[in-house]
Amino acid sequence: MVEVYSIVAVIFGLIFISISLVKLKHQTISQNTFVIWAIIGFVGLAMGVFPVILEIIQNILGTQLSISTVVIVSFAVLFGIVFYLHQKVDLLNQRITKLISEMAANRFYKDPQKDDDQE
Amino acid sequence: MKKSRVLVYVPVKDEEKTVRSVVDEIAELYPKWDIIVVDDKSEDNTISETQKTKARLIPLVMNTKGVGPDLTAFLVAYNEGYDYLLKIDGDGQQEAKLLNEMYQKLKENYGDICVGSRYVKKQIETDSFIKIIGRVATSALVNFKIGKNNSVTDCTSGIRAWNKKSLSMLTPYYMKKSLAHDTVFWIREAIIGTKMGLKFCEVPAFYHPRKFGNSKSFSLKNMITFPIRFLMIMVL
Repeated sequence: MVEVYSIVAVIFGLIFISISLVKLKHQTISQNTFVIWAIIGFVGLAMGVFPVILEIIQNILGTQLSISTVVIVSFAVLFGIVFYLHQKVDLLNQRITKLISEMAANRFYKDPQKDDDQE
Repeated sequence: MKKSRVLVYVPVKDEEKTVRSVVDEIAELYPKWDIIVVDDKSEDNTISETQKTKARLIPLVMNTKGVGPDLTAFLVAYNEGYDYLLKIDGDGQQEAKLLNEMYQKLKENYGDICVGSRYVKKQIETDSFIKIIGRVATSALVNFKIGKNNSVTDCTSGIRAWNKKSLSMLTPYYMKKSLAHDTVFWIREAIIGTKMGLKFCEVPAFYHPRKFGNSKSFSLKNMITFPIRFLMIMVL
């Protein structure tokens, strides 16, 4: 008998893969972003089509309910993504500060001297 | 004898009431020194007030929470080949005569970085008790870490000077590595400067009470997060 969550997982996987493909085609996301979300989509799709995968993970984690397995794995993946994104944002902030300073310093070199009274 | 090129930089953010008097005093005392005012995206009339002075204004296009002006000054001094870079805050709390004292210390090779310290000479404190305790404790712990190689009694002091050697070592470092938060920027400099083999020296500095505005470094949020940031700097 096909479980409801299998159908949900298949729909979820197909939606993610489709959206990622469309965005990649329109070049609104990079290849790296496409790969990450396409993998997540395929994993969801695989779990829906082959529920035995979920049972294997369930046995490894020792959970009694399939939904608990899904929640635990989803949380772990989400935390990983959030950490990665936080690190990226932090790096971008640093780069912006350095870029602003370099731009300001370059304007100093290019603008003519204000006055020469100090000579 | 080759003439030393000296650059004085004044970082400002919303200092419309004091920037003109600070810069005019520096220009009057040291007419041969170059002065830049780096504005961290002020929202008042700081820029128009600075334009009435002899200083060259370098406005930043975005607020960088205090670190941008320092980095900009380092870049200008390093790339333009200045022999000395001197810093004084634009809020009027520090005395311009200290700049010459720090300059002389560096010129006479007492060190590579000179700090205007509130604790070299005993003086009447104008700050709150908690700030004083925080500063003293911070400096004591930093001195414990940097050991016998250096001694800095006032790690958080913003009035300081650098010679060419320290500029040539610190500027590429700051551009390459991640930047520390404004509240621990100078503390980290004491630690990394010591690791680079740079020598610190100090001159006594007196800070006048702040007349206008509020301290950007010591907002309530910064005071709460400071111990955690400090711990991370010390441990990692």
